[in-house]
Amino acid sequence: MKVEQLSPGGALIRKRVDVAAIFAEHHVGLVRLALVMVGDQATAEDVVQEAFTRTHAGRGRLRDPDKALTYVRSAVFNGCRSVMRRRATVFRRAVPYEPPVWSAESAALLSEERREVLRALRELPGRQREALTLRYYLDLSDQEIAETMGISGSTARSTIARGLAALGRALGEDS
Amino acid sequence: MNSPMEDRLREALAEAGATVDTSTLRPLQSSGRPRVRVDFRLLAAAGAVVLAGTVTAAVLIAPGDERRAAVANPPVDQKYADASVFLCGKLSPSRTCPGGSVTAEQTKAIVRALREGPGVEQVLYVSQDQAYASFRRDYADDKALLGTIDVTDLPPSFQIKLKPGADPKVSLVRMKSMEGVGDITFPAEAVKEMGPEWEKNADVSVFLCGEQSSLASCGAVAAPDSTSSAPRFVKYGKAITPAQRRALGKEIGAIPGVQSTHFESQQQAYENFQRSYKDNKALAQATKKSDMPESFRLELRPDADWDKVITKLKGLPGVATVVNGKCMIEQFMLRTHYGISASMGKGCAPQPG
Repeated sequence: MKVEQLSPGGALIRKRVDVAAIFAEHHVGLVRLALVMVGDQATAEDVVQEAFTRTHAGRGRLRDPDKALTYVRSAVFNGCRSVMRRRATVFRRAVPYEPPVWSAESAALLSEERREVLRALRELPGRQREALTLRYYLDLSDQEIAETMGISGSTARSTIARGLAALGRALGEDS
Repeated sequence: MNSPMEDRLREALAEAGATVDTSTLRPLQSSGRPRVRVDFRLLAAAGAVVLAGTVTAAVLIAPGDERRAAVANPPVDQKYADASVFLCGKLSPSRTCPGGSVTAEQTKAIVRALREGPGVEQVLYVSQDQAYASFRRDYADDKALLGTIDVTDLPPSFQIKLKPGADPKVSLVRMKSMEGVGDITFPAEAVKEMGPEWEKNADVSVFLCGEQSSLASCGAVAAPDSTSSAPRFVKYGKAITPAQRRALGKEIGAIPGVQSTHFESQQQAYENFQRSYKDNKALAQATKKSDMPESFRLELRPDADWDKVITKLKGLPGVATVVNGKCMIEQFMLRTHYGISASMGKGCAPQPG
């Protein structure tokens, strides 16, 4: 197929990042990320869908292609935070919500050892939990974690270190 | 140099993430907003000349949208209701009527809410039969329309009379989200805006291809994997050239039935748009002059065959799309008085994009 040469204006439009395409490409990955954050697939899918709907309207605004995935992850991440906050409010006085992935019912999915780690992770303060998830689930660098969470690189580093230490204590590790 | 803690954490997270069942993963739904925005501006530019901005907004923006037409002055004409609350019927869009037709309980709740509404003076129920009788009278000479609509297509409604000075939008804002309410319109205001002579003011807008057009009529070629939510183009359309524009103007003037034409530049279109939407700051600010299309505005002789002229216009080179102003107003009136959604006007529907 013959492709016409685009004018400078057209090239700019091309260069703008299509957030919708990024969502489509990383859909499963984003749901996985949301799942380890919120604990169940249905909510995780909702979070990703919501983030998609919200960022979709502004897709023309994003001009830096290198930042696109970070931007999309942040959107999903913020969605997860809202879910956690909502749950915290709703369940403050009621029984604690136990999402399936680390609950007893999911014994068929995950071994007791894994669930123990996830439960301990869930007990950590929000930021530490988030930073550890980005580091040890997505294997992001300090800088990428910082950008996704909207904090500085050194804060990201120290948050991870503190989170790891707290996790070790919770799981009775002597180190 | 990973510590055992890190390894455990990494493995646990990986396993948790892997439990996502990709076979049940729901596909992402697009809100479709960007596409609507493009169509919307084209149409809005078409409406800006014939209609005042508030009325245009009511035509173009679906019920339930926060940017619904703002209401300026309390209506004066006693002949029309200040507001019509249409109940969910057979043809109501599923977006506003997810539960289908209105139930008796919902109707009761709506009556209660109306009685308690601030500024509401009188509430009158119009059944399907009554609506249909009036519909037949109003459109007695439009056999095509009468043939497509029967009595069960028209939703029942409540016609509201407000106390003098009450703002219908304020009074009825709560009603919009009630179950069983399909649409709310403001007939008195609409009639006041349009004037009795609206049919004579209707024109035809011929929009011209601009830079980077994504319309097939301008030569844009969509990529095979293009979807409405993520449009991609192999090739964008080309703007009309000055020579083409001159030729087009001449050609349009020669079409039988065309009474007069005038050219509306980007600058004029932009000024009209800004005037029409001065109350909607967000929309006005988001719209740049380069977003506006150039157009020819045509007056047709009332006895001319509008459909034939419009079909011919659509086939001319450099024409992006053609909007029939008469249809827009007709559809608006149908919705305002009878609660039938705009897409019902057959053959008259403005072609999107």
